[in-house]
Amino acid sequence: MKIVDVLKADADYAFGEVEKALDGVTQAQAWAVLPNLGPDYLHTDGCIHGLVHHLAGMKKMHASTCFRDSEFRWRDLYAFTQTIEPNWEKALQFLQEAHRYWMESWAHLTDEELEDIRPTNWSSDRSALEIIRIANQHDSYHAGQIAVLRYGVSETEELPPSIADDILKYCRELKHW
Amino acid sequence: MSIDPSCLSYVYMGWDGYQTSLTLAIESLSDEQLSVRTSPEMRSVREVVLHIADGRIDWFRRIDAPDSQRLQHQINTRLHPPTTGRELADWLRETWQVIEKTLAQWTVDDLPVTFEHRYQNKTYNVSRQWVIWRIMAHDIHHGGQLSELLAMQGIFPLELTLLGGHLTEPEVVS
Repeated sequence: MKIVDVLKADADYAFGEVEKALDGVTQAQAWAVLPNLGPDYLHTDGCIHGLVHHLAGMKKMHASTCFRDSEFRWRDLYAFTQTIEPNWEKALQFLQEAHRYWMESWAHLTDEELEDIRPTNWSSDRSALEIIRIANQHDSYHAGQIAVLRYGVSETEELPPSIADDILKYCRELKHW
Repeated sequence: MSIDPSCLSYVYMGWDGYQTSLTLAIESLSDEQLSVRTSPEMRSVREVVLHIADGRIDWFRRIDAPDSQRLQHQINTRLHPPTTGRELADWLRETWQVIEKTLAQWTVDDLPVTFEHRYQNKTYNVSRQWVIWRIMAHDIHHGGQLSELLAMQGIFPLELTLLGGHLTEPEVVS
């Protein structure tokens, strides 16, 4: 069995977890923020809407920076996010589109190419294998958070915290802005 | 590269770091903190941790992973499940040994081996690849749940939350 095929199967499973956790979540649930008692948490402000944008944005930035010569940059993500938030259906569509973009970005790799060192959008360069593994794990982790949030929050009509504002705040000074 | 790229320890590198994140996150929690849940039908912190650890053995025994039958017997015969933070952390460590040995001893060529699994009146052909990924994802998925259950209480474990435990491999800074 090729390692790259193992990673593809893992990626399908992990994204399936995200889809399962999101199944049936309403906009009113997705907007509701679970009050936590500490600092800003992973720049998602503790709501499902924020997590979906976080997952989608990560997939776009990972794919672009690591495998597509930075054709899509943080500033593009900022501009795009402004056009769709806080609409919940559009956030879900963005997640699906971002997942396709991510999977296509490394579908052609061979096992040997998994050891190639690639740039990343968040830290120092890493091997392609590490980057893909991290992305798969990222889906599983946040799927778990979504599963808790959907039962831990009430519904609300109050607008969620702006993701675009977070991108501007945390990513404007990054190399791939 | 110091290990064979086909070895599962290489393919799933970083899982060991996540195991550490989980263990450190819950080891010193009080009984009250371990009892928190978001709603009556959801698992408490304690139940999530036990579910992670027992789930590892429940699935790894099906692929006949090293030492898994012994730990399954331990689960089947125990009078009381681990309860305190310390006991739960120890149980996570003990069940991790099964995973660690499996990853060290098996390669990607071992992954296509399948077994039949009966579930809800259907028979599935389940591969070792599916089981191993499922359990790693299971660890991480429920680790994500723990991060939220702890954040609700104002608890932010260094590795699992603040260092981005979801990435499993903290960035090297020097």
